[in-house]
Amino acid sequence: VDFGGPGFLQENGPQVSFLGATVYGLAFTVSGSVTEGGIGVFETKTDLTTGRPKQDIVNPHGNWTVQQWTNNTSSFTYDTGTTYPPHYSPTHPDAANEDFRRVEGNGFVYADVPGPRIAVNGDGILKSYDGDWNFDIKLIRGDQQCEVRFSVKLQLRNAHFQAFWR
Amino acid sequence: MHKQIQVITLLTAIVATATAALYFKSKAKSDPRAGFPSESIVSPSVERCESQDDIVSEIKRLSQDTIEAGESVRRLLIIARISPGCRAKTIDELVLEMNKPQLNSQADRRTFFLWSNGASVLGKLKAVEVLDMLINHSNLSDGLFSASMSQSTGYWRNNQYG
Repeated sequence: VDFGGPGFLQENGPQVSFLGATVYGLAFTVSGSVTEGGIGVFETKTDLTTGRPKQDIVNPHGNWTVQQWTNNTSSFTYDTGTTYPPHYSPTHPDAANEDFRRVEGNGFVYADVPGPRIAVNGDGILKSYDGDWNFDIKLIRGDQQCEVRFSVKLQLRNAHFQAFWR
Repeated sequence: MHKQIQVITLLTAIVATATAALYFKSKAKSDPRAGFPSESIVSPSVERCESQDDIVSEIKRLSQDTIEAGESVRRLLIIARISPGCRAKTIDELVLEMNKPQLNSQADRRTFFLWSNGASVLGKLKAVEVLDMLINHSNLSDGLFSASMSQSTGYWRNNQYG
């Protein structure tokens, strides 16, 4: 996982991003490869009809599954005066959808830029934000797996956006 | 002479009956309101669906953040596939519940879940007749973003309508 440098689809790091939506986000790039078996599935969200992660098949012959699990606690204040106190969004599947990823044989790369949207209908423009995000990224085949975990703290104050990760 | 008059009268009656039948049949085709009872002109959107009450109660559950909402998504899809009338009724009832003024899916979590789940059903049904409504609300979200697009109720546009 890269938090700096040129990145995939956009520069990595904290920024105002227009990739998919206008957000204050921490752009990072996830890349990986397997020696054999191919990348088969990205688990992008919860499949409502089964309650299990949605299997987004990228290669029907691939054996490996890419997972990104995330949760966050966020609070918002908008210029209209609307405030939302800290709210916890439980852990859910969150791997990149097709607009943000590339899969080639045994390798993959995707971009993500989690964070708050700058403008929200009905609420106005975001003035301040505090968010604590946790990520758990896995590449799985049966009982084999490779895993990266990290946490991100996002903060917006006086039009100054900061991100801290560890 | 009397027999000739009888034959002419009979032929005239047959021609008159045939003409009248042809006239009413062609009128029925051009004006649906004049349809014969045996020729259904009811459009799928108003065709009765026996599961109408179930549709309404399942839609009420879509605004919950529970596994039951997922069950309701599954049941609505099953009902909608029973007949064209049930599909139309499912879509009509979803639009009635979802398409309300001044929606705020960040303040009202029930609205977010109703839209997430409802848009998912409409997407799976490929309900092109409500695309305008979905597009008009495509930026409804819980205020957050990530590359999975799971925080957006507009996720349907990426993978369900093709």
